[in-house]
Amino acid sequence: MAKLKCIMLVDDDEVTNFINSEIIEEMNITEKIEVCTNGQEALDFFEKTNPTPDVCDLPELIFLDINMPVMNGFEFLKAFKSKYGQCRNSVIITMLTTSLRSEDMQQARDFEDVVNGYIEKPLTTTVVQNVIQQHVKK
Amino acid sequence: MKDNQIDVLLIEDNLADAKLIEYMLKDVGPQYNVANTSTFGEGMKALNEKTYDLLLLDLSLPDSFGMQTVENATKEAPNVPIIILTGRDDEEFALEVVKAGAQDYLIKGQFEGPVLARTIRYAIQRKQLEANLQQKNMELLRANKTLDRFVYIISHDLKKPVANIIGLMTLFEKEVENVLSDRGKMIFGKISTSINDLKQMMEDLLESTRKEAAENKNLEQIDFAKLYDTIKTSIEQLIVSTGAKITTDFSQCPTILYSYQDMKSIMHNLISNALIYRSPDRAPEILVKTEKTLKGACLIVKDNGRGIDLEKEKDKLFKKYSRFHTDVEGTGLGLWLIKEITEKNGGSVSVESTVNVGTTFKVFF
Repeated sequence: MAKLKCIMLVDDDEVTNFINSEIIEEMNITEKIEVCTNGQEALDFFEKTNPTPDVCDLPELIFLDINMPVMNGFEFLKAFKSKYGQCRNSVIITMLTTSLRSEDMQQARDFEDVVNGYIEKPLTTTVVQNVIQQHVKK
Repeated sequence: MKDNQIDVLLIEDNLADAKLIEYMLKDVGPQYNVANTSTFGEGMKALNEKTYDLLLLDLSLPDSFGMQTVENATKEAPNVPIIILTGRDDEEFALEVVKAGAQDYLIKGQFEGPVLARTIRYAIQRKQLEANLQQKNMELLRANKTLDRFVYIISHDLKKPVANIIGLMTLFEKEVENVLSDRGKMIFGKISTSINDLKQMMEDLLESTRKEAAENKNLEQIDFAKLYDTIKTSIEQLIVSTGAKITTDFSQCPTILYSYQDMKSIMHNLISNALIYRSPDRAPEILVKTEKTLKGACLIVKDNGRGIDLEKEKDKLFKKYSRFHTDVEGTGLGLWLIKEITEKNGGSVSVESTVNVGTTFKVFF
């Protein structure tokens, strides 16, 4: 499998970001890991790499937390959907959360068309492998 | 009821009856103040204008009649004790009156001052006790809700650092793998077991508060194979580390209409139990299967684990916090949860087991 260009981690917890970066780095599956601490930072990043939204220069894989300050995971999805909806097929979005709360699950269903999966923390090598095998074709 | 004064509102259209009651009370003592209205409407107006300690209510008024009068009065003045004055002398009617909200009743022509006064005092007392009880009940309900919320928040918020510790330990293990002594590795293993215990306990806690919180759950069509994949991902580590072989067969009954959270909880608990209570001598082989039976859809989880001595343990099996194998992790909530969920939904759970051979759980929905 060819290396990915970019995996993005969106989580407000510094330790979580550290662990997840380490795990992914060790797997040697991506050229770059982009870390954002909330949804807004992620959108700002897209803004930079995409002069117009139809460029679709996005990370191939995003691990997205739900509870974050400034802009939470669901708010991010909403904004993402309205601005980069046409890029849907160039990115895999996996929700990464502390617990599969039923309220969250319900809400996640509203985003079934933009979210590829829903995973309980902690992220492990096996989980990352599964996500990539399932969704990243090539 | 200031200065021992008892303000009584008497709603009675028969002037002679009204006068009689006024005299009776005056005779008992000067503390009784009686105001009289002759219609229900006027009575309710009077209650709005002034606070009364008690309502004496005749049941045949020009503008209100019978049981409806009691119900209306309790609705209009929920905090005022009510005594009904009636010409009827039958037990059934009396009970109905009390059920409708009155504290007591008196039969016209069959009581005198002292009995009337005592009935009034007791009615006021009873109403007071009732109000206190209601107040306490409300406080308890509120406290209970806060407690549930608290448990939920604690277990939810604590999961984050615990997940982080587990992640950090995985990284750390690789770091020190080659430099740790055997004893160091043993200690590291115990830290790992403890933190996984903590994680499991919090999950169980969360699950039990969730169960109590979710009163009206949404039923939906659940695809067993899809659900199994979700669960498999969440316990991947346990499957890999135990070298378990899990076979599934959902062909006989591929879907079911059920609460998603409930079904997930049931399947998750059964499979992780089969992994946790594995035999120390062989890798787990687990069959997860669904069937259509006469009793309805059925989920079967069969393992080759250490088994349970049902003769001895059957009574304890589904009790909250009971465990049989204290040398392995577990909180004793899992089976209790499964039983709770299925029985609440009209189902049942059965178990067959042979020590050192394996256990089969069947959940009927």
